[in-house]
Formats: sequence, structure tokens, C-alpha cells
Amino acid sequence: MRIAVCCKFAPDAEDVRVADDGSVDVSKAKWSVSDYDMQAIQAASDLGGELGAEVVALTAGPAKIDQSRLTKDLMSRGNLSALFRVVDDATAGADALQTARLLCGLVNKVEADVVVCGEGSADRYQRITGPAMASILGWPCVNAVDAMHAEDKTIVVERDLEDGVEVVELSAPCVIATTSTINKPSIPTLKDVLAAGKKPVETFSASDLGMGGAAIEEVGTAAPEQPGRQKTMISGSPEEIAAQLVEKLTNDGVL
Amino acid sequence: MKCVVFSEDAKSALELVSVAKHLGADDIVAVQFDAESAEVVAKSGVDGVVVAKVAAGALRESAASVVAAEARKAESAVVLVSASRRMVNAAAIVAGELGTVPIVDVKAIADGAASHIKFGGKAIVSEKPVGDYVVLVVASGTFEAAAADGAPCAISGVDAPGIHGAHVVERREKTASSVDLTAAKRIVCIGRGVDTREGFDLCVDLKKAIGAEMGCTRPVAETNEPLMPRETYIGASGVTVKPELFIGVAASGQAQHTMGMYESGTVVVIDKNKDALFFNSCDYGIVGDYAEIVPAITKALNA
Repeated sequence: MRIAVCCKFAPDAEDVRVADDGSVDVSKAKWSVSDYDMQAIQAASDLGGELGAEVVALTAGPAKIDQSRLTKDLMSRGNLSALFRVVDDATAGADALQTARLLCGLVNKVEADVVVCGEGSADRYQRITGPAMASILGWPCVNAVDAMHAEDKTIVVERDLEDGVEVVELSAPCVIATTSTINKPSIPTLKDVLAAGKKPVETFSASDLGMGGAAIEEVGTAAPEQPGRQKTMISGSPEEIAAQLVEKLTNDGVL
Repeated sequence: MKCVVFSEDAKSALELVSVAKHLGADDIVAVQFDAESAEVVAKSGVDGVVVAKVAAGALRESAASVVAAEARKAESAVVLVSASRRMVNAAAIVAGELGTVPIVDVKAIADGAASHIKFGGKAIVSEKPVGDYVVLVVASGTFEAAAADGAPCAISGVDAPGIHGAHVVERREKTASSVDLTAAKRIVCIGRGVDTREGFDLCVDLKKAIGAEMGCTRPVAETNEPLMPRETYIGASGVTVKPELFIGVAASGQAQHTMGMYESGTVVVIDKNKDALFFNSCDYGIVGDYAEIVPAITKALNA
């Protein structure tokens, strides 16, 4: 059995600059593995341990993701045996459907039985890549998975939903999207980091696998509009601050 | 234009009906899971209501195929889905059957383009679906609910085929929270800096003194033993609120959080870090230890 965990390299949101005219500058942003993928990699590795299955990482991105620092960081996590990736600038403007198609292409190449995804990507956080892949593959998909274990060939998951916990039995092949609280990923040891650089990496172009046409077109980006704020600072002793605040809020008609 | 509205309860359905009308849809069909909410929605001016009957042991997402079939009755349609974890999954199934992908956490729709945030709230991206079918997952609390006081339309029932390979064995229901932050006029919101039970209790005293509801930021909702449940998380992937008074306690004001409350009437921020981001978007800012400031405010209010 083989488990494939989908990962994304993206620019750190903290380093992204959005000007008032909406232009987005990612040129100074450092790229890294999406935060929420860490829990997915750990979850996939734990499941792999239970099922006696190999765990491989899948990713797709522009030429910028081809950095040994990024590859080693990714491959030092969990218990990943290999990386299969699409490195192609054609992915730079790809929408979720196109990305899902590429990842499904990789799933077919590696003949995975289970696909694990994180809660969402750190930059777009749409949370639909996993479900979109399941749609293409014709496999069942559950998201919001906060706990999972294997019982023989069945994977039992607990979904943390707004109305309660839903326990679902899944049979492979299937897609599982985890929450960000499913586990606390273990920190790679020096041994993991050293081994990371030696793990096999197989690279494809977008045309090798087929990206297809876009379903969504980006029309524009803007900095969010914020209503003007007073920014009045209140200082003094706690009692003085409290008195001033209550007075101001009462005068404002809010209290 | 045809619109299919798909949600788990009457309240969110009515918000989506309002969006559908705002988009100028002239053929609106609502898909619900139960007869009770169907009866409410049937009175909101929609053209039809379908109750998708999901089999016992099947994922509720099974209803997605009923929604897709309803959308396909027209050559083009907009499907509006309420926002919850399960419904994001369901929206992706609907979209997959219609040859597209959903746009999630839509905060605004204008000129055929839907907007949602990117980079944790630093940017708002507008996107236009290409193709005849559009699936939008609309953030809750973003639009006013339509009234449900008209003459009811017809309600029909359709069996939803199950999803192969997934079987629900148990549901442990949470008691529905009686708190609706989206309707709250006053909110006290605790951030990562409130990390003790004693500190939490001080904030509870404040909220009682002002007659407010309580919310929190994402880090608070995601600790191992959270002080507050996830439903009270205000921010990008949580609840959007517009209270008259918002008091942020020991929250630094990260974009993911402020995106969920930036339309609040009056914003008060209390944080011990004078460089906290939040002070850039507050009306009244207080630099100090909340453990001293909050009880002082409570005392002044109760005086």
C-alpha cells in the first residue's frame, strides 16, 4: 500500500507586501513548506506506520520550488521515502482545478492508494485541493479529520465538524484532508535532516501530466479596505484608563 | 439566471437566498436536508425547495449530487453553498460534477467576480469562474438574511445516492451553541496573551459587565486545551462579526483575525506590546497588562 501526501511550497505570508493599489510584491518573500502540510505529513507517516505502507510526498510549483533548502526541509519531515514533483512555471497561474489535475497525475504515477492533504495552503487557504482531487479520481473524500487510525484495511477517521464529531470508516482508495490540530508534528532530528538530502526526487513537467484549462480566472488583487480608525491611545493608571475609556464610550453612544 | 442554494439550516439558506436575489437570479431553488428548514425557506420567495434525503450511514455530502443535478437543469447556474467544513467538502463535490472548483469564503460578489482573502488577509483576490457553472461557498454573516414570510412554494424530496467507500458509523453531536457571534452587538475577544484560567475569568467578568458575547482568535481556539471552542474563533476561516463595540484583549491583530472584525463600529484594543499591529486599526488603544486593565474597566462599569 502507498500513501501520498500533498504539499505546497508557497511564499511566506508575513513577507508578502500588498501596496494600496493592490499590487502584490512577493519578490522579497522567503518560500517554505505550507504550515498546515506539516500535520498532514505527520498524519500520513503515522498512518503509514500502522498500515505498513510507504509514504511519498507530492508537490507542484514553479521553478522557484526547485531549491535544495526547500526539498531537504520537506523530506526531513515525518517518514517520507521519496518526492514526486511537478516543477514548471506553467503552474504559477494555475487554479485549484489545474493543480488538482497535476497532483492526480502524480497520484497515478506513484499508484497511491490513499491521498492525505493538510487543512489548506498557507497562502490561498481555500481548502479544496483534496476534495477536488477526489472528484477527479472518483474516490471518496473526507475533510476536517482530527484523528485517524487503521483497523485492518479500513481507515477510521474522526471529523471535527461544527455540529459535532463524525466518525467515518473509509476504504482505500480515498482522500483524507486533516485539520491543523490532528497532531503535533515531531521536529526533525539531525539524522532526519542529513537523510533528507539523499531521498529520491522525481520531477515532471506540467505537460507530462496534463494541466488542462482553468476553471477560475483571477481578475484583480487589492489591499483590504479598512474603515478609518481614531487610534486614540489612552494611558495612565489602570483606574484612570478605565475611567477615561468608559467616559469616551459612553459619549460615543456605544455604552 | 438560475441559482441553486445549498445549506445545512434555514438561517444560512435565507442568507444565501438574499445573495441570489442580489445577483438578479430569476429562478432560485433551495436544497435542504430536512423538512423543517425546507418549510421555512419555501416562504422566502424562492421558486422551489428540494429536500435531499440522505440515507442513514451516508455522508451528508451525498446531497451534492442532488444539487449538481438541479444546477444542470439549466444551461448555466450559480450554486451558493453555506460555509462549514462539511459544506466546503460538499461544494467541491458539486463543483467536480459541474466541471469546476468552488471559490471558498466569498466575502463579496460584484460584476460576476467573487472576492476572498489571500495571504492570511493581507490581500483580497477577485476571481471570475470560467464556464457555465459557478460554485461559491459564502462566508456566514456576510449578507443579510432574506425574510421568510411569503406564500410558500412547492417542496419536493429526492433521494441522494450514497458515496461509495465512506460510511458514517457514529455522530457525537455538540449541543448547539446558544451564542451567535454574528448577531452580537458587543464582543469581548481574547487573544493568545490570555493564557490562564484566571485571566480568562477576568475577561468573562468584563463581558458580563458590558453585556457582551465572547470570541477569540485562532491561536486560542487551537491550543491543546482551548479556553474557548472553535466556533467562537473570529477571523479568516472562522466567524465574521460586525458588533457596535469590539474589545480585543491581548490579541496582536494579525490579518487573519482582523479580517473577521474590521467592520466593527468601535474597536478597543488592550495589549502589552506597544508595537502590536492591532493598534493601527483601533479607535481606542491601551498599552498595558490586560490582567490589570480589564478588571479596572469591569469595576468602573459596575460602579
